[in-house]
Amino acid sequence: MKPAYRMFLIALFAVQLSVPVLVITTQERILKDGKLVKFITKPVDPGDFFRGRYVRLGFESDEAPDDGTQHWSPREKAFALLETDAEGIVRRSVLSRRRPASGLYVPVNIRYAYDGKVFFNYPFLRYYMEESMAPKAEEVYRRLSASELKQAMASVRILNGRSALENVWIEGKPIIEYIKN
Amino acid sequence: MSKRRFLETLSDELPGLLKAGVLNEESVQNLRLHYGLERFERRTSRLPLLLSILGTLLIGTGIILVLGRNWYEFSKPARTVLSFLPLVVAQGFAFFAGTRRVDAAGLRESAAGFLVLGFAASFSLVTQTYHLVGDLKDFLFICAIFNLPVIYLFQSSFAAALYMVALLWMASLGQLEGRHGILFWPFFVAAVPFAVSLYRKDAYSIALGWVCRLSYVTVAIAAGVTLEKNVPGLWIILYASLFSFFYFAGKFWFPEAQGFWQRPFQNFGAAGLCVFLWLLSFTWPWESIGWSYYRNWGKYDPVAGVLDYVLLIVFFLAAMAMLRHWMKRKETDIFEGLVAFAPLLTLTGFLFAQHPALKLVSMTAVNFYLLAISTVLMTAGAESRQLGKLNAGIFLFGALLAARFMDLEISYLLRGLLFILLGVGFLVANLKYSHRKKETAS
Repeated sequence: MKPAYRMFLIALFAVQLSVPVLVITTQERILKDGKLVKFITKPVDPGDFFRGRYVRLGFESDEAPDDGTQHWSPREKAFALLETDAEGIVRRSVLSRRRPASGLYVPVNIRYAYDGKVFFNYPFLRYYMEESMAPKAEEVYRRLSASELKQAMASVRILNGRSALENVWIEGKPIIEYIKN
Repeated sequence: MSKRRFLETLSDELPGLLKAGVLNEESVQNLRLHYGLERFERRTSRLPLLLSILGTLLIGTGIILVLGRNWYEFSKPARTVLSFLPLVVAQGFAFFAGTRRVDAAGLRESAAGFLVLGFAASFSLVTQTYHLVGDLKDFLFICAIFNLPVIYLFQSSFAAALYMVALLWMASLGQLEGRHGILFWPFFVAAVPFAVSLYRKDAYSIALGWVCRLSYVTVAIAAGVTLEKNVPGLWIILYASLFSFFYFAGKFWFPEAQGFWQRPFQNFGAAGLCVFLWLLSFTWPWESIGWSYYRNWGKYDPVAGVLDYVLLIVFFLAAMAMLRHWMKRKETDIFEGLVAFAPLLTLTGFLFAQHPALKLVSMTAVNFYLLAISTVLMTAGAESRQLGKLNAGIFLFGALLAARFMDLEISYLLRGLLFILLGVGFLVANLKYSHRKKETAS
């Protein structure tokens, strides 16, 4: 093997390895140093909720008021500035096209604007779990009452606009534990 | 006996002749050198390469499935470490393959395939461990970027195939999401030097053959997918130019190709053009085309719209360069002449169709052009006793006839008159042909 070829090969391997390493270090830093916020989940289409290996998440706060002056387009990228209560639960979001200079915010994708509201997707829409647990999770979720649903939450760590989904909780228990019990 | 059959027979017989003492070692070597048997055998030994690639795919996907089954039984730190496993194993195998002194195509292709799939698997496992949603388009883009150096470092046609599929998929998703797929083109062009290097080594190798086949299919689909279609109808000129270019690329760049399978560009170009012209023989492609129907609403990207003009100019000029080269060679094959001038026909048709009253002229011209192609194919096939050409001509004529017979947009009277004219034309041609045959015989 020529030295130059070996050098290129090793350089390629190093760059390839750096991609997952970068993802892991970034996410771990967010999970360690990020501020913990909670999002109350809301039901999504049951057919979509448990798709194979992951739980699809919807959130009560995935909408913001639209005064009609901003002209939001579907698939447009924006930033959602989050307003939390004393317990760290996100109650309201305010949209902005520019990255906020301070505060808790995450990048979002606009879905559509309708009737004075703008609906968007947060970057943490999926919670991956074992495929065999998905049907059980679906059955459990369907049996939850409306008040119990309000206690379904996703805990997310946010740091400088980047987010990391920690867990999904039902009645104070991690979803996997809740399903097993 | 075709040359290919002869070489196959010779390759099979030589060991037996040597063993029986009919030929000595030196004679066998001389014969092998004289007929280029080594190159021929390398080209035709597809099975080991195919098995290597299939084996790689099976092992790679098997590892992913095994990991996936037990995935959630591992702790998060364990999952994080295991996420690297497919990539690290693939890199180890690739390094081993790279250190071997003997160039084994099967090993190289397997190593490259493992590396591409290993990276995709590791990246995918890490994003799942951290519940990262990500865009499939972005995932394919990242995989394609890291696939590109693998193609060159391992000279791998398998990696090139995966690369092209990823690019096309990425471009298609971009368009479906209402964005664009223009990134397909610069990244596709980035892989062209690899194909050129294969061509310089051996223009008729199996690896290049597969790369070429996948390339023209990918380019043909990508051309349609990535067009923004701001000016309706430009695709007509673009596709005619594309197919014409493919045909002559095959003819001029692979002049020693023998048999159907060694002419992928020519076959695809000719077949593609005929099918395309058949579609243009209807009225619907000529409806509402031109600048007066310029579209700048809906899922429209103004930047990507510039690509339409760039692609059109590039492919049209490429086809014209081929036409010029063909004319310089003073070729007399009428079928090739019709293929060469097809882009100019569609350009003229497009310009005529700007006026609603003249779109029928464009449509009619295409019909007669296609009729000419089918007639030339039938005549050439009959005269040279090439059944393939004859059948192609008959099939094309039949398809044209069926289309016009069923075409409710043309009045019965006009259809009837056209068919009568056609029939008369064929009878006259038949009489002339018979007369000429008699003269030749006497």
